[in-house]
Amino acid sequence: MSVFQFLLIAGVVAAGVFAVKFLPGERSLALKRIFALLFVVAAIFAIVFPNSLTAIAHFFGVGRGTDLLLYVFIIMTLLFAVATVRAKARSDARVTNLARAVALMEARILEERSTKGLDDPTPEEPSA
Amino acid sequence: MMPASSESASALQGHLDTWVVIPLYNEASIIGDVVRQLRPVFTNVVCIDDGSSDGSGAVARAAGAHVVTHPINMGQGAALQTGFEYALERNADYVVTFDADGQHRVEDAEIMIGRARDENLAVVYGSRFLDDRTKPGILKKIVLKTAVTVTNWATHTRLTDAHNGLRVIRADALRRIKLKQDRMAHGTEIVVLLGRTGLPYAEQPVEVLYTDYSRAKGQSLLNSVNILIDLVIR
Repeated sequence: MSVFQFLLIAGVVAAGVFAVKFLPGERSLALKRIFALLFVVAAIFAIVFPNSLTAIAHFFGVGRGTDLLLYVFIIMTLLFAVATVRAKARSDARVTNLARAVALMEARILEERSTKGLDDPTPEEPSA
Repeated sequence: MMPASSESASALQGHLDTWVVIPLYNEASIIGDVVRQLRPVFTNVVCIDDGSSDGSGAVARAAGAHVVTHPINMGQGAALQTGFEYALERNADYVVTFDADGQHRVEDAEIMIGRARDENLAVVYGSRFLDDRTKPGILKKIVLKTAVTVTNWATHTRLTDAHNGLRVIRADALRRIKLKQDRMAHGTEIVVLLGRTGLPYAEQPVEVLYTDYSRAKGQSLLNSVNILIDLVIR
């Protein structure tokens, strides 16, 4: 095993450990962890036996293992981008709801205060 | 501060069951006039200050409007939804949506609320294309006509103007919708959601005043691309 292979394996294992540790979400967390572990095993296998990747590539009608790797990488990157955008949209929606609740609460407090005549930031009908 | 006594004397004219909702973002130079024109007709005016940085909220408040302040800028659709919830909290029977840039006429809003009451309508949409008072210019017309065609196609409604900020919506319809398009696509979204309620609606011809000011601030052609994409990708 070459030094480079060793470095690659170390990198993959580190990424796998971080992924398993910090993956977000609850419902599908276990599934994601299993997927991450499978990925690490497959990656180590491919690093130790580079020819196996080429064999798989041939099976799918792709020239070399590196080419196959590139294609899979592109697809995964796109999926990651989409997942990130969707996650951001969900998070934006939560922020909107939170900010709206804050704004409405502030308005309630200000109006309550002005009807009590404590101070008068809004032109409110005078309390009886 | 406005005297309250003269208002309660003309309660009927004050449309006390109605809230005018104005999404407000950096319109300090004009929002005061808009509110002052509305207030003799509509007592309840609420501006949703969407994180303005030019003191628009304070100007609106000084002119006699209630002000709800978004802590951060979230977009016009989000501001409208906040206004709806504010009005419902205060037991509004009707909400009038009104633009902050002075392109709508108070008279049109009053006619629309009258129609909603008389004809028992849940929604009255303002349309600038039902008569020829409004002069939008050819490019703007193409954009708006495209928007309304897409909207009609997506919603099975038959409207002539989708992105008109002047609308009257009854409380029962309001309770059944929640705007999720924070940015500009809410114009179509609101039609989609209200259309789904199956409640009766009508269109009222209104005049949109294209002042130099509103022209400068209005939606650009590029923005209409955003609207289309926002609607397709959710």
